[in-house]
Amino acid sequence: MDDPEERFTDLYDRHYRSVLGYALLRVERDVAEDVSSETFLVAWRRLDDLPEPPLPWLLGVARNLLAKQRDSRHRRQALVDRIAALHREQVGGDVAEHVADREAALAALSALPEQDVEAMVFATWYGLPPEQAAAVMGCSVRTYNVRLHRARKRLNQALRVGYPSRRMA
Amino acid sequence: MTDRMFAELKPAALDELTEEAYRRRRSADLAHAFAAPRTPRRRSRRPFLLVAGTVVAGLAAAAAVVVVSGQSPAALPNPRQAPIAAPSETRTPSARPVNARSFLLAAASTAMRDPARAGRYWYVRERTFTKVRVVPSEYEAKAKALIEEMEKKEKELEGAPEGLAATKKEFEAKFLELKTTDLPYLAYSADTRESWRAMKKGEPGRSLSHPVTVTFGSPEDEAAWKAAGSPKLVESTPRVRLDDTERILSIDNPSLTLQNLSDLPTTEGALKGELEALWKRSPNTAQTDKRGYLWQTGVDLMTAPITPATRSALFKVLADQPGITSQGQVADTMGRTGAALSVSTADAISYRLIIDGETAELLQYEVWEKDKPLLKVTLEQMGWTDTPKARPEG
Repeated sequence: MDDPEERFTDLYDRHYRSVLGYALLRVERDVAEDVSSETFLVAWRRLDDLPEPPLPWLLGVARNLLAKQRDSRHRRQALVDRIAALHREQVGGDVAEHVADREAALAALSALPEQDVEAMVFATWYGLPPEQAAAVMGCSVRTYNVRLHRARKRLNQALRVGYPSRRMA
Repeated sequence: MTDRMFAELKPAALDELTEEAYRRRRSADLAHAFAAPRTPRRRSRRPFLLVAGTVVAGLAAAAAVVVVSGQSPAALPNPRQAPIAAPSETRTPSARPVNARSFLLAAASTAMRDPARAGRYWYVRERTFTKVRVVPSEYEAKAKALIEEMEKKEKELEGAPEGLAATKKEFEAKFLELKTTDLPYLAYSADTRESWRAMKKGEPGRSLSHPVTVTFGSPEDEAAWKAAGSPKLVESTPRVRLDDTERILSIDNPSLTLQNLSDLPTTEGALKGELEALWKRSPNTAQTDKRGYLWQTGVDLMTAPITPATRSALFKVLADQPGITSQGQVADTMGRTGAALSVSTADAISYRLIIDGETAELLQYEVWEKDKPLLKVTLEQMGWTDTPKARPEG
């Protein structure tokens, strides 16, 4: 695969969904798609310099582009609000009990610092190891680990306080 | 425990949204990127950029990437730097027309991803819209009158060779006029033909011709036709016709057969050379220039079962042709949308291809004279079948 077009297409096919998925957690759909497109445009320009694996790098670019959204219409929303909004976009399929659980969990999450929630997203939804997640977030591995630990602890506490019975069951 | 619970919080809508957007935006994103210049490899300057643009946290991030990648720090981009490289590209690429070259390069990439398929019969169903140039009954009557007149004159001029030659010329001009005088309305005959070509040499193929229908350029054209007395515009072919004559694959390239297509080169350079050689041997039935030949041959190849690698190389060869313009997204006669690429040849004739950005398949090709289409051929279906009667699935 020496052909740059081939390499880029492969990169796009493998990672577009992940990059857009992340962007959707921060901004509305149309802006998220634009940010993803731009992320890959940056990747095209820097194709010869991409690290392996490239996903953390791509997510890092997307994260920086999102941070630059100054336009009020496109201002990024709180992570937890976006997660809740995306759940509302899902039509049907959810039973009430799950909704109640989810609402409680989201309420607990909204009490956490944004970056702590983000640390959880990278760890659990993306399965990124700490060094990769830290690279995306532009912090040290130590800082990332602190955030992740804090998030887990608070989430645990909040859930135990909020739902003694159901969580135990 | 907490992680598992958190994992369950991942919205299911996310996967649907990303999958849908991936399909919708892929071709435009690829084409848009290919149209943008790439930063040349400049490893020696990287450490400077890395240090100059970062604070302590950034350095830590870069260090983290080093751990992950195992590459030398000099080769690594810093995520914090990346957006600076492209400060102005914030608008949606799908909203602006993509240039023809980058679209074709994207198609080349897409074509590569197609699995190579094979079968016993190559099936093509195409619907051809041709501009009706003459009303057959009127043309016949006028032509007959002309011939009679000519024969009469010839008898009169017997033994006067100079006068005879001049008269012949005069009649030729009159015939040409008869054939090319535009009708006062724009009408197209549409005929659908299905063909099955056998992969095995010597095995009979099959083709089906469906009844010809007439369509008009616009309702005004239809009204003008009615005003002219609704003359019959096509010879009627009420039934489906069946024949097992071998249909030639590419009229301008008699050496190409279904059996030797897989020998065609798979790289851009080699295919370009092969097309050059084919052009030199071509009977060039349309008497067109080289550009016209290349597009017609390109169409013949796109509608034939060439390998994914040859198809990809073909798109790259076409991408390097001068004078291709993108006319944006258009619908074909079936309502499918694709990118319209146009290239003009001599004599105010231009070729236009409509290519599906998602599959890199040719949907329709057209020949235009100035701003009016003379011919539109819609590729309704193509694929392999096991029998000369079945149609491909899907």
